[in-house]
This record gives sequence, C-alpha cells and structure tokens, in this order.
Amino acid sequence: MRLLALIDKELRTFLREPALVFVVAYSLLWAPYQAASQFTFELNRYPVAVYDLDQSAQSRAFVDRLRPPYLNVRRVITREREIDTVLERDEASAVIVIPENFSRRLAAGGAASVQVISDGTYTPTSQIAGAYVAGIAQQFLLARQQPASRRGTGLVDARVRIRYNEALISEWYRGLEELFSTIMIIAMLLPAALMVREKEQGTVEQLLVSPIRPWEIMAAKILPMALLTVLGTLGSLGILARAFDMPVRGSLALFIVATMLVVIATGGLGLLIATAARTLPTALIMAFVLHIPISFLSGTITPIEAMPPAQYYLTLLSPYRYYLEIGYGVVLKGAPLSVLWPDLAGLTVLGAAMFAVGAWRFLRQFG
Amino acid sequence: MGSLRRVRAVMHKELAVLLRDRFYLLMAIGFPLVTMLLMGYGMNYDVRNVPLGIADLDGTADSRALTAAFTASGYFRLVTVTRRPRTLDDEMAAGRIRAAIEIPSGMARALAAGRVAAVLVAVDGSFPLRADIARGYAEAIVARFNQDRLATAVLRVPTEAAVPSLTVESRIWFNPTLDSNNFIVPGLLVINLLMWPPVLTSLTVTREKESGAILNVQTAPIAGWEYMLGKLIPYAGISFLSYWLLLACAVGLFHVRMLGSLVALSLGALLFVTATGAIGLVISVLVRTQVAALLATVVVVMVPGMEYSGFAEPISTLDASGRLMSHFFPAADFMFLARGVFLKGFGLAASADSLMRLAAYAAAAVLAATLAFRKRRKR
Repeated sequence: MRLLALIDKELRTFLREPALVFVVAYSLLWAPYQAASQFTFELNRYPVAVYDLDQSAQSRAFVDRLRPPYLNVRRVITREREIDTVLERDEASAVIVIPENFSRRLAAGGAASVQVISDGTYTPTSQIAGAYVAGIAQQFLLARQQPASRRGTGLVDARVRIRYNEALISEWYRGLEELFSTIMIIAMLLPAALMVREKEQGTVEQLLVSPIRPWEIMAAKILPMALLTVLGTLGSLGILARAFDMPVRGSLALFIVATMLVVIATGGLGLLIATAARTLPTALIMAFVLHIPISFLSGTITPIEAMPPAQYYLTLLSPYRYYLEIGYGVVLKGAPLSVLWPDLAGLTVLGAAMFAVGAWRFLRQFG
Repeated sequence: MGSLRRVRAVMHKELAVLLRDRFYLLMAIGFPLVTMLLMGYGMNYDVRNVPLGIADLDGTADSRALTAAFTASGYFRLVTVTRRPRTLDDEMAAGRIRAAIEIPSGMARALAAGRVAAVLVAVDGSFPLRADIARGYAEAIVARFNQDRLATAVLRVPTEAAVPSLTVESRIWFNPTLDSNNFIVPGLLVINLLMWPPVLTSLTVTREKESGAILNVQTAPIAGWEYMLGKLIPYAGISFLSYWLLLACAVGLFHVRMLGSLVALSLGALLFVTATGAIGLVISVLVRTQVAALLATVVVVMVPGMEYSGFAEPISTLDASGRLMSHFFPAADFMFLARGVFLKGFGLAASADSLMRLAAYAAAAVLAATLAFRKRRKR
C-alpha cells in the first residue's frame, strides 16, 4: 500500500516537471519518427559528373543508364582538370570517366573499362556508388550481348533476395535504431532525475526519516518510470508502423517483456547516476555521456559483426546487445521465442547484474 | 578602456566557476575527448566479413568452387554450413548470419548441360545500408564466377570470337584505402565542437538566473555586449583548447593524415566554437532553467547539426529543402572545411570562402546573443 502511494507521488512529480515530460514525449514519440525521415545513406539521386572521352553511340548509351532514382548526372565535364574542381568543391560525389577506346574495345570483343573516381571523404556512400555503377555496367553488357555469345556454357544465376525488409526501406531501420537507443537513455534518466530532484529540493531527508524503507523508495523511482517508458515505446512503435508501413511480425508480448527487462536493468544505471549527481543538469549530462559507450556496446551504431574483436567481446557483457537482437528479431524478422531464447536469457542475467550494482550503490547511500 | 575592464571581470568570474566545479571542467575538456575516442573506435562503416551460412545441397566440385569464391573474397565469413535450408532461416532470424546461400542439388549437372542454374542468395535487410552493399558483393562474386567459366570455355574453343567484357575500375580520391577512420574522425572533430561549446554556454546565464545572481548583473553598470563577451571568451577559449586535444587525438591515435593547412583549420575551429558558443548563449538568455537550456540545446543545436552538417553524407545528396536547412547553421561549412583540410589538402586560399562564411556566422551569433540579452533587461 505504501508502495502504491509512493508510486502515485512519483507519477505526479513527473507530470509536474515540464522538462521531463518534454524529454519523454520528444525523444520517445517524436525523435524516432524524425530520425527515420532524415539521414539516409542509400543512393538517392547521387550526384555524379560524366567525362566522356569516347563520344560514341555506345558511350552515350552507357551514360544514358546513369539516371535517377539512384544516380543523377549533375555535370558533363570536357577537360581533365575539371575532375579536380568538381570533387573538391563537392559539386558531384563521383566522376565517371569513359575512355576513348570504349566502343572500339567493345566491338572487337576486348576488355573495355570505365573509371569511377569517387570522393572517398564519404566512405559509405562512395562504396555503394561504386557497386551501383558496376551493376549498371553488367546490365549494359548483358543488354548488348545476346545469349548467343554464351555458346552453351552453363552459368550460375544468383537470385538475390533481401529478407525482412525486401525493399530495403531504410526508415524502418533508422526509426528502430533511434527508438532502441532512446529507450536506453530515457530508462536511465527518469529514475535518476526523480531522485536528484529530491536532493535538490531537500526532500530526500524527509523520505529517509519516514517509515518508508530504502528499497521502497528505490522501487517507487523505478517501477512507474519503467511502465511509462514501455508505454512510450509501444506508442513510438505504433507511430513508426503507421507512418512507414513498418510491420511488427513477431510476438508483441515477447517484445514488451524484453523491453520491461531492459528498462529495469537500465534503471540500475539511473540509480548510479542518482548517487553521483547533485543537480538535475548534471544528471542529464551524465546520462547523455554514459549513453555513448552503451550505444557502442549494443550494436545500434555499428552492427556487432562489424566490430573490432575487443569491442565485440565486450558486447557479450552488455545486456543491450541481447535486447537489440530481440528487438529487430521480433519486429522485422518475426522470430519466435524458440529462436530468441538465448538472447532473452542473456538479457535477464546481465540485466539483473546491472540492476544489482545500481541498487547496491543506491542502498548504501540512502539506506 | 572601462569596458575592457568589465569584460575582464566577467571572464575572471566565469573562469573561477569553471575551475572550481570539476564537473564543468570535465565536461569542457574530458567529455569531448571521450566522445571522440569511443566514436572513433566504435563506428565502422566497412562491410567486410559478413557472416554467411551455406546450405550446399549439391555437394559437387562446382558447388564447392562457388562456396570458395564467396569465402575467398574477404567480404563474407563462413559461419554455418548445413544441409538443411531451414537451419539457415533460424540462424538469420537469430542474427547469427546476415547472408545465406542455398545451392540446389543438380547445380553441377545443369552447368555441365550448358543450362542456367539458379542459386538462392538471401541477405538480411534489417540493416539496409549493409544489406545493399552485401548484395552488390554477392552479385559481383557470382558475375566473376561466370566470367571465369566463360573465359575457360573460350579457351577450350579458340576458333570463336572472344567475349567482350566491361570492367569498372574504381578510383577513390582523397581516401584511397576507403579507410572509414578518414571519414569518421574529421567528422567527429566537427560534431564535438558543435555539441559541447553550446552545452557549456547555455548553462552559464541560466545558472545565474537560478541562483539569483543575475540580478546583480541586471543592476550593474555593464553593457549587454560586455557581459556576453565576458561569458563567451572563456568558454570559446576552453573549447578551442579542446580542439587542439581532439586534433592531437585524430592525428596521433587515429592516424588521419592532415594534408592541408593547419592555420586554415585552426582559424575555422576558432570561428566555429565562437559561433556555437554564442548560439548557446542565445539559448541561455531566452530560457529560465538550466535543464530547459540543455534540452533546448539538444533540440536546436545537436539534432539539426547532426542531420544537416554533412556528417554522414555529402550536402550535395540532400534534397533542396535539406540544402537550404544546412545554410542556417555553421556546421556544414566547418564540416566541408575540416574534411577538405584533412583529406583534400585545402590550403588557405581554398578555405577562404568557408572561413568568410564561418566568420559571418560567428559575428551574427554574437550579435544575436547581445540583442537577446538587452531585450530581456528592459522587462
């Protein structure tokens, strides 16, 4: 009963703190949507310049294939010197050079080549651009040479299918990434903020001399905020699903359980902050800074398999790694519990450990 | 002369606050470094060693050659070999593999008969960027496999005309090894100088509002611009110091070569931290509490700064409204300058345009802070 009264008090405190309400509403409901609508790596009218030295029907046919939606020929270059200026000034991100022997070599059945000079300052986009031009070249060649030239050689036809996100809609990934990353920061911030608020207003002494036990104070800081975070997460998922036609393929119940677990585990970090910070701005900044290593050990920013070994092994100790596996697994892949149980186990064990550390520190300071 | 003394007095007070509170000092110097180190080591856009699963139902020399073509490429790392395609589905759902190949039985027979044999390649699309690159690799590897088969076929029947081929040679300028550090680290330098100075300055005036010390300032015979400059100079100064540390980190730890002019970059950094610091002051003057100031900084400075600064993708790939947005902020210009100096070897002459624009942003931001403060005083 006492606990319920305390929980009621914490919810009221939260609602009276416009800054906190704003943080939760902004970062859970708006930020994932916003992140999903911005910030793309995919090729979308990638600006290229063409330097055609061949000037033949063949080379023009090739240039003709460099068109939207992926590429966009912004400039045609006539002198070699211009390659420099175009790339340096960022007027185009790649220059495609067609050498003068292009059509002659093709006609003679020789090895023709095209050069792609791209601006390596932006590695991800230049990597994809190179792959696209290579793909366009293969299509160009296939369209030219008729099956006759195969002359009975057996060939492998790779039927590449993209799973879970067939159209590679990057909004889904970016929205989810932002949502998962936001959950971590919010779940850490809310309990910390409420406790630090008590310190700032000097009410913490009142709580301590009251018959309320320290663990009850702790539970009252964490449980309502965890509930709030989970509700916000579901709302955000709903918004993403509505706005970008994102499917939720797996079991929502499994997702809710995992989210609840991760939120309570992260509450442990919030308790740590609550013991260290004296003012709300300090707590905010601490949560923000702690959030950076957490993200890097979770796989939101770099997928786990692309991490250097040291970082990879550290992620094995991070509850967030397992949470993300479950998150993407449930939402996009429709993975059932029978596939995800190792991750759920990892999340539970490591999450409990993380919470225990926070609770221990908290009870030592306030117990 | 008198105003110089008043500016110095405000500076003196701010420095005392900064040095006394270890947390603020940590925030000014330590956090940017930590962010840089973690992000520099943690971010990786290279797509190599994609975990791969293979279900080889054919089990012939040809199917093994195709498997070897994938694993030898360096782009895929064989994790699972199975005879049951269902296993691959589960592995992919659990996130243990990102690509799966199913070689149907009878592939070798079809190839020997001169037919086209279909091979199923599945790529996990939950990370679209990486899936897109991995698909490109898979298609290229199979195309190469076919080219080799055609070439050997031509060798066997030398009387026929050769098959034309078309290769695409990729030349990467400014970052020939496509080392993603060269892309990320200069970007992070900019992001850190974008993020931390306004966090620091947005807390300064609000701190005085919360403690009530602002009343002393309101009644003191000090002009708005004197007060603002006194606040700005120590924080811009310490952020500029932090710039040197970040730079040392970029060159010393991440081995990013700096090809262009150090003077141009440093001048740009000084103008940039002045501008971002002053933006923080504008926020600090307009809101009441420190918490509100922090949140406003995140919403007004960091979010648009990250998205429209050209950190992840060139500004030229944004649509028209995005390109317009990028002009409201000094971040895009400094990003262009920083990447230019580091990788493209910009000298002072090539940087002149960006420097001019940064100077204009800095002047405008300082002016805005002064005007905003004056308005508040009259109430």
